[in-house]
Order: sequence, then C-alpha cells, then structure tokens
Amino acid sequence: MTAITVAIGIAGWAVFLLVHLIVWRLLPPSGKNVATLAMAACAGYGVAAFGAGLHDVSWGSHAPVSAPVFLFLAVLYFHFYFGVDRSVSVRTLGALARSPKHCLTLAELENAYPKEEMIHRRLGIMVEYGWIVETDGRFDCSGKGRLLARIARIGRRIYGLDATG
Amino acid sequence: MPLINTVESVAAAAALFPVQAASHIVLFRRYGGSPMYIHLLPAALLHAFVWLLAVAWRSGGMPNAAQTIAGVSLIGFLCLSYAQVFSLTIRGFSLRILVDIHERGPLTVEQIMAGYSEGRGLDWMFEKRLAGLESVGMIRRGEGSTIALRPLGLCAGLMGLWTKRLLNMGPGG
Repeated sequence: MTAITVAIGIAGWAVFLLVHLIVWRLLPPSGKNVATLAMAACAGYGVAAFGAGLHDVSWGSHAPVSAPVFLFLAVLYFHFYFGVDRSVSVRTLGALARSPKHCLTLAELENAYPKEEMIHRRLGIMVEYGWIVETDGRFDCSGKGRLLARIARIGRRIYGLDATG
Repeated sequence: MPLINTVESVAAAAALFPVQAASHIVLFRRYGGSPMYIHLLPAALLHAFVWLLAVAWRSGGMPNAAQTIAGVSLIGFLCLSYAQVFSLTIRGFSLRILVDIHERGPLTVEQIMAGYSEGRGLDWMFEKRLAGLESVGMIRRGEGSTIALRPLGLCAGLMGLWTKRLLNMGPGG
C-alpha cells in the first residue's frame, strides 16, 4: 500500500509536468506565470488522485503519503523552472553557451544580455503582480509592494546582512 | 498502517519546521560564508533528526515506511520552500528593486539602475553573480575581462537554453 501511495504522488508529478509542457507550448508569454504553473500542479495531482479513485483507492487513504511526495517533487521542479526563467546567472551562462568558443568579454556579454532588459523585465513582472505602479515613467510601490518590502527588510535584519540583491 | 499515525507524522514534520529555520539562521549568522546555501543541509538534517525522535516517542518505536516517506518528503518540501525564501531575501533581484523603490521612490528606470541596492548599482549586482559562478567552478575569468565557460557551466547553460526552447519560453533573466 505504501508503494501505491508513493506511486500516486509521483504520477501526479508526472501528469503536472505533461500538463505544464502542453500548456506552455500553447500559451503566449504573458500567460506563463506562477499562477498558471500552480494550477498545472494542482491539476496534475488532481488527475492522479482521480485515477486512484477509479481504482478504489480513496483520497483519504493515500493523501498523507502521496501529497507530501508530490509537494516535494513539485517544489523541486519549481526551483529548477524559476531558476531557468528568472536567474540572471542562468541567463548569463546561456549567453556564454551560445557564443563562439563559449567565451565573451564583459562588453560582449552586455550586448547579449543588456542591463536595461534585466530591469525592464523585472519591472514588468512586478507591475503585473501589482507590487508597483507606473505613473509618468516613475515607479512606486503599491500597498502590497510596501508590505513585501517591509518583510524583506525584516528578513535582512534576521540574517544580519549588510547588502542584499 | 494506522492512518492516523501517518497523518501525525506529517503534522509533526510541519510543526517542527521552526527547528530547521532557527538552526539555519543561527548557522548563517555565526558562520556566514560561501557557498551561501551550505548551512541548509545541516539545518534540514537536524529537523529530520528531531522529527524522528518525536515520531518514535509518539509511536513507541521507529516510524514505519509510510510515516518515514511522508515525513521526510514534507521536510524536503519545507526545506526547499525555505531555501527559496532565503534566496529571495539575500539575493532576490526583483525584491531588491522593490525595496529600493520603497525606500527612495518613486523612481525612474535610470534611477533604479544607478541606485540598485542602496547605490551599489547594477554593475555590483552583476559582478556578484559572476563571482558566484566562478566560485562554484562554472566560469573562468581571464585577461582582458574575458569570461569563459567551464564544463559545468556549459552543462548548466545548455540545460537552460534547451528548457527554454522546449517550453517555448523567452530568453529569461
């Protein structure tokens, strides 16, 4: 029975990845966000749980094992995905991988990955999330953004950091 | 397999999460260092050890397979979730921009770039990233400000490119 419950969790993760792949190939860039990814994850686990139900394995009997297994695998993938999507370091490695002899000067790297692009993308994401608002070319925090910024500053004090970012 | 014992096992793993978070904070503040994430593993192992003791005491014996898999999986989930929060706090690019805007806003794009991280600037951020990549052996800095990929960096770079192509994603970053 334990093996079955673990298999349900793994199956849910596999279905999530399949749904994620299909949806991501169909969606425009604006639709590829955290909420859609989370919904794909929920759909994956839901399908696996539904399939288990069809085989008379009730949700209550497998969830205490299948859910933690699924959550662990899902968050492991989220780390990978958001690293690929958002990481400055990964983007830099990609630019180097595409270059002749896998080597660039700092100036060439700046051409391949301009800092303005870094900033504009992040500002766009934060405007989409509602953390900041743009007015006449100036950006200011929304109420949600101010709360998040305060939490970040508390985190900095907790870890005893001089500089962040 | 008593169902309630597995549920308690998962609940215990969740309830004992402060052990992991607190021990990581203590280790990080005391020893700091590079790589930044090195203290997460001992903190997670401590969490798992305390969980094991709690479940054994509650069950009157060692946890069975279901309890172990469920508890360890949840500890792994909590560890990775905490690692994400930790990473965002210490080096989150967007979060740092948000804090800069909160402290000195409203700001234009040029002011955001020049004043990034309390005036350190984007060049500082980028240099920090390059130093991090060099410290884990992914790149090598050469003469004339050249940056060359090492094999591990090439693997990581290609994996990123292939994933973006497979998932029809933009350039990222």
